[in-house]
Amino acid sequence: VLDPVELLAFSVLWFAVALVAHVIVWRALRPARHIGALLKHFAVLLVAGLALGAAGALPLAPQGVWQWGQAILFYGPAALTYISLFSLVEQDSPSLMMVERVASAGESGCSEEELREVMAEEGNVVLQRLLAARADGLVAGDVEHGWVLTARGAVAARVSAAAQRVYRLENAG
Amino acid sequence: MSAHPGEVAMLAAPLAGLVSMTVLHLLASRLGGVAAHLIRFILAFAVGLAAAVAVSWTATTSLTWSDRIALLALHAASFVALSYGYFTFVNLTATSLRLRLLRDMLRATEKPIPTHQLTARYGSNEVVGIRVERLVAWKQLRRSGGRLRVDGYPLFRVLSLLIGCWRRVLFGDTRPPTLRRRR
Repeated sequence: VLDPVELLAFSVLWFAVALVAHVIVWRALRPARHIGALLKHFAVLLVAGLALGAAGALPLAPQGVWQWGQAILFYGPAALTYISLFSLVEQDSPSLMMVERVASAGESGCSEEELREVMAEEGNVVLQRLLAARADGLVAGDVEHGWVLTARGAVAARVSAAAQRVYRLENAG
Repeated sequence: MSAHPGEVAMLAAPLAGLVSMTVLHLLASRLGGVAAHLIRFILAFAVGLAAAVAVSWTATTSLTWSDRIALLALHAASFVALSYGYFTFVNLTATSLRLRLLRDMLRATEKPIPTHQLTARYGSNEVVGIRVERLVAWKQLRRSGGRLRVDGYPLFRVLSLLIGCWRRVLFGDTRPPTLRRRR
C-alpha cells in the first residue's frame, strides 16, 4: 500500500507520463481534431494505467479502490484542465496577441489604431475560430459559401445558451 | 473491498469542495447582481477550497504530519483542477468567441450565414476596443501619451511566450495550427 507521499508522487507521475506521450503522439500524427483526440488520448492513458496497475506491472502503484480513486481524482481533472487550456495552443488569444504586438513595438509603443490594423490583418480571430470549429465538427462550410451548425454544433450552442441563462451571463464578458 | 471511513472521507474531500463551490456559485448567480461574475466565482472557490481542506484535514487526524500534508496537497491540487474545469466551462460561456459564433448561428435566420456577417460583427474594432481597456486595467499594458506600451514581462506576455514554446514542442512552430491549415 502506498503511503500518502508515494500516492501524491504516483498521481503526478501518471499525468506527467500522459503529457509526454501526448507530445510524442502529436509530433508524429498531428490529429486534425485536437480536443476530441486529446479526450481519447487521456482516456486511453487512464485505462492503460489502471490495466498495468491491476496486472501488477507497475513498480509503484496504488492499492485498492480508494487509493486508485484518489489518483484518478487527480489525473482526471488535471487532464481536463490541460484540454481546456489547449484552446490557447490551438488558436491565438486576441488579448495575448495584442500584448505581444505592443511588446514587440518596444519603447516607441503602439497606438490603438495600429493595433486595430494588425488585428484586422493577422488577427482574423473570427476566421481562426470558425476553422477550429469546423475541424472539431461543430460547423460546416467555408469562407466562400458561408457557415452552418452541424448537429454537434447545435447541441454545443444550446448547452452554452442554457448555461448563459442559468448563470445570468447575458451581459458578462 | 472494505474501506476505512477515513479513506472514504479523504476521497470525498475534493468532491465536497466542488459541490460546495458549485452550489454557492449557482445561488450567487441566481440571487446576486449580474456584473460581478469573477468576484462571485472567487468567493465560491474560496468556500470550496475551505470545504475540501476541512474534510481532508478532519479525515487524516490519525496520520503523521508529513502524510497529512501530502494528502492535503493531493486533495487541494485535485480540487483546484476540478474548480478550474468548472470555471472554464462557466467563463467560456461568457467570453468564448467560438461559443458566441455558435449561438449566433443557432439564432440566425439566414442559413448558411455569410462569413462577412460574422467577421463584421466581431471585427477588430470590437476585439481591440474592449480588450485594450481591460488590459490597461489589469496592468498588462500601459497607456501614456496616446500610445500603448508593455513594461517588462507582465503575466500575459509570459503566458504568450510559454504558449509559443509549447506550440514549438508540439508542432515545431510557434504559430497556432489553425493558421497553418487555413484555406
